[in-house]
Amino acid sequence: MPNTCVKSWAVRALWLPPCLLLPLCLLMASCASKQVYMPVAERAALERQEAQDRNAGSIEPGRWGGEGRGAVTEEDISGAEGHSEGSTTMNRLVRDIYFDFDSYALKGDDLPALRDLGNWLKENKRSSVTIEGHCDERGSIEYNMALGQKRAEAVREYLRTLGVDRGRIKTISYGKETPIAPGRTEEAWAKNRRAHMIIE
Amino acid sequence: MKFSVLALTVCLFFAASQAEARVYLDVFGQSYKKITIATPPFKGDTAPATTQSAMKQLLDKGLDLSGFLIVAPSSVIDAELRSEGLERKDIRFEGWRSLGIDLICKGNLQQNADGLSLDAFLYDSSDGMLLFAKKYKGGQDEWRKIINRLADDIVLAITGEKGIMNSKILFISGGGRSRDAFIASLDGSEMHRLTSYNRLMVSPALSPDGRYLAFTSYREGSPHLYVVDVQRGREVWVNREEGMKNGVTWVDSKRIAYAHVSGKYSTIYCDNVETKERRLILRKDGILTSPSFTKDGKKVIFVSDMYGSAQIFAKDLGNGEIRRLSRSGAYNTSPVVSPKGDLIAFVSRMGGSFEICVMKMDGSEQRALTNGGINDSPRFSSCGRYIVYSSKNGGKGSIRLMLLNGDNKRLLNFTGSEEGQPSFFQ
Repeated sequence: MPNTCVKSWAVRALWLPPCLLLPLCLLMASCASKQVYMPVAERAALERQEAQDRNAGSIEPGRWGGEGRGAVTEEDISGAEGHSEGSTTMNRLVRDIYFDFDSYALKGDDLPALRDLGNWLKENKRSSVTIEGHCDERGSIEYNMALGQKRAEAVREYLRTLGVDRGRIKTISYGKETPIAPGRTEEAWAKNRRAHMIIE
Repeated sequence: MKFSVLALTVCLFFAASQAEARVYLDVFGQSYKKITIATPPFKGDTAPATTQSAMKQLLDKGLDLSGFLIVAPSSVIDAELRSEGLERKDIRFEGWRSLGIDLICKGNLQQNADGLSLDAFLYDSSDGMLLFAKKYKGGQDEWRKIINRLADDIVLAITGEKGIMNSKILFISGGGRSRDAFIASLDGSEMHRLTSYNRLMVSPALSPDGRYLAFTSYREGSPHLYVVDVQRGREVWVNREEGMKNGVTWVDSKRIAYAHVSGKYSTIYCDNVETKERRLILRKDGILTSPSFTKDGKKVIFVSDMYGSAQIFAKDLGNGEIRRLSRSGAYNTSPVVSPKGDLIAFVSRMGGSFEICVMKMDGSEQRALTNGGINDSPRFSSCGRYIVYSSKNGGKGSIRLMLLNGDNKRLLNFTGSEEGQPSFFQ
């Protein structure tokens, strides 16, 4: 267990920068090509469309968490006032944590976020959480079904040690059957080896 | 199952004893030489030309799938050879030999009010010997069955064991979360949809008598293990316990074994789906999955991560002893015991790919049969000479067939969409 944790820090440090860089490069590339080939009127129309798309995307609550305007204000105040972790808004709670290949060991750097989730669940007794366990496309269907179950249960057990009632935590494994990131790259695989939390 | 095709032996199998040793297939070591066969167009003009050519096409496909034969292309057979008669006295064997052809399959196809009738003859060009002569009869729509029987008889004549063209393949098909179980003939025809849930489904397994289908389905949201009576279309047994229940295999026509992963422990159970009796086979920390039993029921092969990574183990159900079988690599899964009980097929991670491998029952002589991609779910044919498996290499998942030694890999295409988790039925 300790070994896995140490390794995971190193692994994450390595793959995070490329995953930030890639979208940036793509964005730059696409902008450049538009400036060269597109007439002004069309470009203006396109930029308007893109701005609309950006706005449409930003209201996806699950994905962007507390980035909506109202929520940001609230968070800043609560942070400044030094409120307990339990008052974190629901939107800020962790939705995905990631695992190494063929591993269901939680990583050390995910524990604070899981503690936030656990504390929030303890304060919001009418809420419940479904934890989905997922794997990347590699390996056997059957083994990955079991591995996904173990990943979901690893999160459940951690929440239980924090004092969350087991009855409020549901686990479900999807194995490698429903990947969130397509492609056969280490980056896509890393995104698919996850426990996904649905909070209700 | 009802067969209306009548197979009548016209001549005796007087060459059966010589035929048995013609091809010897050994997965560990000796290679074998493929036999070249010519399949000139059938004689007879009462059947439509389209039926004639479809039958020849299917025969060639079946012989190629067998892995023991190379079908000589029609272009090498000149008009003179093509037009000669069916009887031994009419055949210029030296002409066939000069083309490098070892076997000649000739036939006379007739169609009348009763249906189709095919007289088929198999000759050995080296000595002009008639290996068999048979009359096949069936309805007009049964031409596939007739040809598949002929292909299987040719394989029998040269290897001593029937071919697999009359086998069926059970598999999962569908994209995304919408999947169902199907069964079809090996040649892709006679496809039947067994379920219509349009939900994620894994580990389908038909009971040996074809009566029950067991599978793990998400049709109620969570993954549960179901057994349905295929003919009557009703549920006979369900396990809705918490956790993952999958990797189901039939021990006999009434009992299933499967792994249940839930909480600290995983368990392999054996349940009788009729009497609901339950037997605990094995319980361990961590992951247990993919149980497979030897035919005598004395041993169970399974996957466990008890040493930190996925490995294959065997438990002797007599003395309770557990032995690790997979020795190399950090990821060995999906074991399945061959019908003869002498081999285990499984999946092993090798570099960046996941390969179908075989090893002996004690874990020795491990050997990879595939080369690249993500290969999974190996299953033996009932004769034990073939392995069907799912394969993914970039594109969509597909089903492949190969000989036990990895030769003659062939794509099997049924639905045109994503397919996987195949297994032989009969």
